[in-house]
Amino acid sequence: MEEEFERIVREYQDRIFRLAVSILGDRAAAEEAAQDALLRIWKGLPRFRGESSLSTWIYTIARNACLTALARAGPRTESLDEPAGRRQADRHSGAAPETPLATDAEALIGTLPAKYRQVVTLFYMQEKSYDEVASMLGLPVGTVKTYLFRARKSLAEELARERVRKGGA
Amino acid sequence: MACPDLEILVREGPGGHAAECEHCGALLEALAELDSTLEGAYGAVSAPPSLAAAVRMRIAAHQTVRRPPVLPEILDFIGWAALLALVAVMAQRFLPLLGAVITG
Repeated sequence: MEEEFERIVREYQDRIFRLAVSILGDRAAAEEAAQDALLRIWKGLPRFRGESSLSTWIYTIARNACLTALARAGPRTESLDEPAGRRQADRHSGAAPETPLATDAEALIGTLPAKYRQVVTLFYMQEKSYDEVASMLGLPVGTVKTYLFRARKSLAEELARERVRKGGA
Repeated sequence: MACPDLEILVREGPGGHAAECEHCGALLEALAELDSTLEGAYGAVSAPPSLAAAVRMRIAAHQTVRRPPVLPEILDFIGWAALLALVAVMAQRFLPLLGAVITG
């Protein structure tokens, strides 16, 4: 079992961490959630019977660990359909140190509803693989494509408007 | 002329409708900029090197604080209970005899 677990850590740690970043939007919280997820995987591995694929099982555990982390962080100030911009802005204005993700891109992504943000960030982290993103988030591929299309369209329109405003000023 | 949907715009590229329409040209450029920005920001995200080590430490801590198995405790309890029951039975059986012997 130790060998199997080591193999899982090697193979999945990046993907679990990325999934956590996409859901939690914060690297420090994502690292802790990824640790929790791997610990749960280690505990559950002897009971894993292969009813679902290993990756499905792992991603389900990772998503649950992230949801636990979100719940632990306190009442959510955003819903899946509301923009996360305010939460992002609050975080950046706070005393917490800025992470490498704290860029204009993150501010841009922060204007999206959470469900779109998760899909967009994972899409770019997972080398633009629709199937991988769908599997990690437990969504149908069609839904991932729809969310991604709407999110990119909305962001591109916002950028284009910004560009026109700057050009006109 | 009506502007095509974004998907068609992307398929056509900068040489299509976007070449004649300022709005769609700006949209296409913004999309390219968006892709490049997000690829730069998220393309290289990977787990911190400390993650695997931290997990191993937590597993080790979990293993040391894990409760000892309860089976030996149960067997121990059963053993002592049986011994006490045996003593009680023997006392009930032999104490009257002992009393009779003492009183003559």
